[in-house]
Amino acid sequence: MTYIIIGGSSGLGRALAEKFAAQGCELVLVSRDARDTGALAADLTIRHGVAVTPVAMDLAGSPLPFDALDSVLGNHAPLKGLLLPAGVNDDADKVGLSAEKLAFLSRVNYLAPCELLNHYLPLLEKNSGVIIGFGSVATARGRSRNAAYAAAKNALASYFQSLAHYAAGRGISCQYYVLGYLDTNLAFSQTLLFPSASPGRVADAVYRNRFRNGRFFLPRPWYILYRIVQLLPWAVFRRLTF
Amino acid sequence: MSSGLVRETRFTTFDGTLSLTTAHQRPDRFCHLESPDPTRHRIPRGGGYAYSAASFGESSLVQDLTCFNRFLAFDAATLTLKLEAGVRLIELMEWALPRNLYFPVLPGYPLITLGGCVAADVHGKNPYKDGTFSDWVKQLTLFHPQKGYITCSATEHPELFAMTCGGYGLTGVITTLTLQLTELPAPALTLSRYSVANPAAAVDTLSTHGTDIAYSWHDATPGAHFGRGIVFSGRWSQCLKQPASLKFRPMTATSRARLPFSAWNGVTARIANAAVLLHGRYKHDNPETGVLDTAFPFASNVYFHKLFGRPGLRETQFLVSEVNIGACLEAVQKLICDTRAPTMMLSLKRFRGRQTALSMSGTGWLLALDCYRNERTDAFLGQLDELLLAMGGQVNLSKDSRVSQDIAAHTVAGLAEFKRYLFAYDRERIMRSELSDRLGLS
Ligand SMILES: Cc1cc2nc3c(=O)[nH]c(=O)nc-3n(C[C@H](O)[C@H](O)[C@H](O)COP(=O)(O)OP(=O)(O)OC[C@H]3O[C@@H](n4cnc5c(N)ncnc54)[C@H](O)[C@@H]3O)c2cc1C
Ligand SMILES: NC(=O)c1ccc[n+]([C@@H]2O[C@H](COP(=O)([O-])OP(=O)(O)OC[C@H]3O[C@@H](n4cnc5c(N)ncnc54)[C@H](OP(=O)(O)O)[C@@H]3O)[C@@H](O)[C@H]2O)c1
Repeated sequence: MTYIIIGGSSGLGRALAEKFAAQGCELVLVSRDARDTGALAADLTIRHGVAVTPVAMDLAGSPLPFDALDSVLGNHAPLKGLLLPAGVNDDADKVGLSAEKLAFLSRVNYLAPCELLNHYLPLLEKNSGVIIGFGSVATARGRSRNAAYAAAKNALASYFQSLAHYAAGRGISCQYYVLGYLDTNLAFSQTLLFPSASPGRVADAVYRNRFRNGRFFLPRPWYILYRIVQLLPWAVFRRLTF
Repeated sequence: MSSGLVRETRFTTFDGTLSLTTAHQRPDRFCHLESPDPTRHRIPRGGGYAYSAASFGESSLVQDLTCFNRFLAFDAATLTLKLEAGVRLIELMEWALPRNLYFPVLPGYPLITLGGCVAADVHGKNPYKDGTFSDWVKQLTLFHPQKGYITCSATEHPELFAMTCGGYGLTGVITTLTLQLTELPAPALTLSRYSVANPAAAVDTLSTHGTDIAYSWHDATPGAHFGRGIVFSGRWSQCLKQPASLKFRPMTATSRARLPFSAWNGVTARIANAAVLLHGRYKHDNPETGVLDTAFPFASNVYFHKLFGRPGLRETQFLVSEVNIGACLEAVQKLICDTRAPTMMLSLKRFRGRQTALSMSGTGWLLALDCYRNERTDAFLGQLDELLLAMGGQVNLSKDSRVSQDIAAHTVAGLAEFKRYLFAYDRERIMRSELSDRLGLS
């Protein structure tokens, strides 16, 4: 069975690739630079003996070049899953962001994952496959920081809710993970309030749960913080500077 | 790409004697590696297990290569394996052993990276038989921010290749390397222990044992018992089914130094050494030892390093010629006993290798001394430096964090040539560390 990992070059995407390959799954790894996914593909093939194909694709581009992706699928076992860990943030992401950056963050974090999901939905429906999306605790409540990122991830979360509704009874599994801090480059330079989780541990949980449906928090304690932030009185919340 | 790829991190040498805060990047994609301004000073970092500040420095961006740890190609006909430089020794061995493959030059800690091994041209448990790390490197790819990617080997850019093996990251970031593996000679090792009265006796024993593993360990506390020790001698053995993984809790420079004080002093060092000697006497032969346990003795045995605590330790390691080893051992013993030096442990290995760049290599005997730190430590090591100069020895820059430019000028065989090469190759001296600053190479 083959899984496509969008954003499979680094961080959580790479950890997912390592986990799924170790379990014998074939993979198609997508990111902007084929040097990264090419190296990872070689590594997974050498270590785990599975077929892995790298594909270079920029999610910021529109329309997405599906042909390249579709053509490599022909060399693989049937498609079983689409994993969408790609994501991007920007230190300048505050209310008042430039139109160009706003469009970039919206495309990579929301529109492109939805387009990919739509494109492979019929095939995954046929194969009783899985679709897995990834959001962030940054969506708990809009703040001045990460404004466009959180908005895009909220939109993605809503789209996954619609997908879950659509998928019910159609044999597709659909999951959406709301993630806390991860020890990856996305947050490497940020001063974090809490310890960050190892992407490997998150990938283990995602693999274990891959045929379940629903929305999950990882690591789980983040659910409590997420709710606390949502329930904070406005008079307190507006003073927070995180 | 996220713009926030750099943070400030406090780095500490493994010996705990020097710390500083500097910019830190952990590239996990090629574009990250290439993203800093090409004129910005930087230094690559592997596992951070050098005892000296070779992988960080004042105002130098530390590029941590540990995410560049992918296996790239294996040629089963030639047994060559191409990997990224951030691969750790344990990852290499856990891949190789189940495939009946082996790599002979393994320094003592499993989380050391291959890039760090090339950069310090490290040695394993029997350098006399196996040579040093660079003897097993077929090809390297380097990234230099102003020159791009360069592939080098003994035949392609041979001078750059030689200056990178033992070049402490100063010629650029090693991104990939191709290693020559061998077939695994046997699934396990038989490790024998021989008690010896002094280091000179160990030299005799090690000279006559043509074994696969060969080194000795000695009590180096001053006094009548100075030098009593154990010779470790290992041969491949067919007996045991090889355990392909090693269970250990990672130790870093930070976790090594958790204890706020040093538990080692004249008394505790003597007691610990006596216990080790006693143990060695009764555990004479250990019939089957796993390859990984033998290669990485410090993985499960972390107390030796951890008990030096926050004050840290000083290690000095040097290579002395076959001719001078006898006189050197006598002089070292005299110095230690006369000055009541804060020395704890001494070890010996017979050595053979090709000296390149800043590496400590050649033919002779490697002598390592570990000291706990007190007000006499640095004065003692200063006197030892004088002795080393008199003996014409070479110092190991990765194990000794205090070697000055003056001492290095006489004890690092390739320093002058390396400096000449480096200043012609990279006029702006982009790659910099505390080590390069200290040796006048920045
Ligand atoms: C417990 C212990 C046991 C040891 N046993 C031995 C032993 O038996 N034999 C021995 O020879 N040594 C031994 N060492 C020393 C160790 O092997 C060396 O210091 C080695 O260089 C550490 O590698 P590292 O990956 O930790 O690199 P670091 O300590 O991070 O860096 C060391 C040097 O390598 C350079 N470097 C790292 N990665 C790259 C790269 N990708 N490209 C270019 N340069 C790079 C750095 O710039 C720096 O100059 C031991 C150390 C410890 C802590
Ligand atoms: N890290 C955290 O603390 C954290 C917290 C909450 C949620 N999350 C979410 O978790 C997911 C994984 O994040 P991570 O930490 O693993 O991030 P990461 O290490 O930065 O990886 C992001 C991945 O997305 C890919 N990507 C980014 N922009 C792209 C583009 N334009 N086109 C194609 N691919 C692109 C990257 O590939 P290239 O750059 O090579 O193209 C990379 O593979 C993301 O959705 C993120 O929002 C992360």
